[in-house]
Amino acid sequence: MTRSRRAHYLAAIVLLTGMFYTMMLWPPAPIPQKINMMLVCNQEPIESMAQQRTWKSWSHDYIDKVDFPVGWELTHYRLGSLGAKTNIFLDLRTIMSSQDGGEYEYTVITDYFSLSEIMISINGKPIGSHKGDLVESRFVAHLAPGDNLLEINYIQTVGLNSLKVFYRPLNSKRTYYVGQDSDRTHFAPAPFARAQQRMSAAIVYPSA
Amino acid sequence: MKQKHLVLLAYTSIILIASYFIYFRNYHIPEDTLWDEIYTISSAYSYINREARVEYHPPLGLAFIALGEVLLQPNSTVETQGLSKAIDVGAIPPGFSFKGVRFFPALLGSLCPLLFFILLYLSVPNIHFAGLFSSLYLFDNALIVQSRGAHLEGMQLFFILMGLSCFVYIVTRGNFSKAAYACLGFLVGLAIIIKVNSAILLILPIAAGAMQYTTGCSRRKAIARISIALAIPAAIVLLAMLKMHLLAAPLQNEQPPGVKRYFNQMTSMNPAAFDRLAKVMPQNDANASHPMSWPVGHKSIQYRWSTDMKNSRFVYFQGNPAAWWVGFCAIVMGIALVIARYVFGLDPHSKKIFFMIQTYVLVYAVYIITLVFVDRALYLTHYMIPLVLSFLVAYLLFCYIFFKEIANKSKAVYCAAAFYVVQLFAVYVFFSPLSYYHELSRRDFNRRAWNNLWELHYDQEP
Repeated sequence: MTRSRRAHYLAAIVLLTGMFYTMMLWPPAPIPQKINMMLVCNQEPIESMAQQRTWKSWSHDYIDKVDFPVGWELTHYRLGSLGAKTNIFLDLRTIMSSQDGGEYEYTVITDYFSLSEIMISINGKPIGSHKGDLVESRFVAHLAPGDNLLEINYIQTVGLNSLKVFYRPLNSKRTYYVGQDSDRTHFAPAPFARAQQRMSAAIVYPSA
Repeated sequence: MKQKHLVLLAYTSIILIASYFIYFRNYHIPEDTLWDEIYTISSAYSYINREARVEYHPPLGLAFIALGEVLLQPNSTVETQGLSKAIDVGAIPPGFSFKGVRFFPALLGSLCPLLFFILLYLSVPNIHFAGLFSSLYLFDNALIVQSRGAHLEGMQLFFILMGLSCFVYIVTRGNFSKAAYACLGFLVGLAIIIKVNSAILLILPIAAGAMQYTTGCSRRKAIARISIALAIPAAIVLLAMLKMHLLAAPLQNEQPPGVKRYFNQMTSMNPAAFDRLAKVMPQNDANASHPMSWPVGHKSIQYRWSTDMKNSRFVYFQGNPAAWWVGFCAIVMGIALVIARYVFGLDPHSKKIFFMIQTYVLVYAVYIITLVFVDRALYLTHYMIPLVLSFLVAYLLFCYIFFKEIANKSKAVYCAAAFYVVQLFAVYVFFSPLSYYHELSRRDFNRRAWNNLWELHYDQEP
C-alpha cells in the first residue's frame, strides 16, 4: 500500500463514519399536526373528521414475537415505543405453519387494572376472546398441517398496555412466544389487508 | 520556535475554555443527588463533623469533596448535622446546595482534558494531532457526567493523567532518574488513595524499569528504581493519608466499638478489616454489568430522572459512541499489533510508540481480566481508566500507522482527523441532553437509543 493510498483509505473511512452519524443525528421529518380520520362501521364510513394529532394513528410493524411489556405507552421490547397510550387497536396477523398439525394451547397474558379486549382467530375462526380486566387466559385450538392464519386482535381503552401471547403444542411441555419458531412450528409475516375490508368492529384509521 | 509556542498556547487556551463550558459550568445542576453521591457526600460530612466511620474508599477524594464544602460553605444555613448518617436516613436535607461538594471533582475533572492534551503531546510531539485527539476526552459524555458529580473518578483521573504524563516523560526522554521514578510513584500513590482500582497503574513503573533494562542498565539498578517507584512514595502517601484521616476524624471514647476495632485493624493492616469491607460490597444490582461488555458500552446507568408527564429529564451515564467505538477498535488493533510483534516477528518502526502501545494494552487487559474475577457487582463507571487508555492507544496507533503521512503533512490525514473531531462534537451535542439534565420527549429519547446493549430506558428504572 502506498502512502497516499493509506491516507485516502483513512479519509474514506472517516467520510463513511461521518455519513453514518449524519444519518443517526438528522432530525426526523416533523409529524403533521393535523390528521384526517374516518370512522368506519360494518365496512361503511360513518363519519369523517380532522383533528389535532395526539397519537400515532397507524403503523405496520413486523414484530418477531408478541411480547409487549407492561407500560402506559404500548412498547415492544425490540422496536421500542410504538407511540400510543390509550384507545389502541392492535391487529396482529401471522402465518403459523405447523408441520404435523394437532392441538395447540394459546396463553394470553395482559395487565391488571385496564379495560382490554382480546380475540384470537385461526383461519378466520375465533377460538377465544376475553373482555374486561384480564390477567391470563388459555384457549385450545386445532391446527391443520401446513399454513394457518393466526390473528390476534387487542383493543385497549384505558389503563396500562401489556400483551404477551404464548403457544404450546399440547404434546409438548415447552412454551413459546407467538412469533418464536419451535421445532415443528414456524412463523412467517402475513400481508395486511385493509382494515375496513375485514373488520366488522368500528375502528379508527386515517383516510388516504 | 516562537510560532510553535504560540500554537501550543492557542490549543491550551481553546481546550481550557472548552473544558470550562463542558465540564465546569453549572456543575451544581441538577440540585439533587446523582448515582453514588449520597455515599460520597455522607463520607465527606463525616470528615467535616469529625466523626470516624468505616469508609468504602480511601480518604483523599473524600477529603477533597469535604474541602470544597468547607471552602465555599454554600450550606451554612442548612441543617447538615445528620448528613454523615445520610446513608441510613436516605435523604439530603431540603435546600442543600451541591456547589461545595462538587467543586473539586468538577474543577479537577475540567483540568483533565488539558492534561490529556499534554500527555498526547508528550507521547508524540505533534501539536495539531495532540490537540485534535484531545477531543476524545473533551467530548466524551460519560467522562463529563462522572466528572461533574461529587464522584471520585474526576479527581482520580486527574492524578492518573499526571502519572501517565510522568511515565511518558520517563519513557520518551529516557530520563530514568530516581526523582522521575519517585514522582511517578507519588502520583500513582495519590490516585490510589482516591480509588483503589488505580493500583493497576503500578504496572507503569515496572514497564519503565523494563525499558530501562533494555537500554543497557544493570538488572539490579532497574529493580532498585522500580522499588523506589512502587514502595516508598506509595507507602508514604498511604500512611500520611491514613494519619490525616484519623486526625480529621479522631476516634472518640464514645465511638462505637466496631469502628474503633476497624481502625485498629486498618492501622495494623489486619486482613480481617478488608474481609469485613468485602462483605458489605453489593453482589447483585440491576445496574451492574460484566467487565467484558464495557468496551461496547454495556450498560448505561440512569443517574437522575424526573418527569412532568409529557417530557422527562435525565442524567445518564452514557458515553459518546463516536469516541468509545474508536477506543474499542484501537484496543483490538493494539492487541493485533502486539501479537504481530511477538508471534510473527514484526519489527516496529518506532520502538517508543510501540512500547507505549503495548504497555497501555497490557494495563487495559490486566485491568479487565482482574475485574472479571472480582466477586461483587461492577458497573460501567469502573471502565473509566481503561477508556482513557483506549483513547491513548487510538492516538498512538494513529501516529504509528500514519507516521510518514504526518511527517509529509498529508492533507488527507489532517482533513480526516479534523472531520472526525467534527463528528465527535456533533455526537456529543446530540447526547448532551442525557448529560446535562435537559428535557427530552420519549420520541427524542428513543432516537438516542442506538444500541440495545446500552439499555437506555425512558422510564424510571426500578
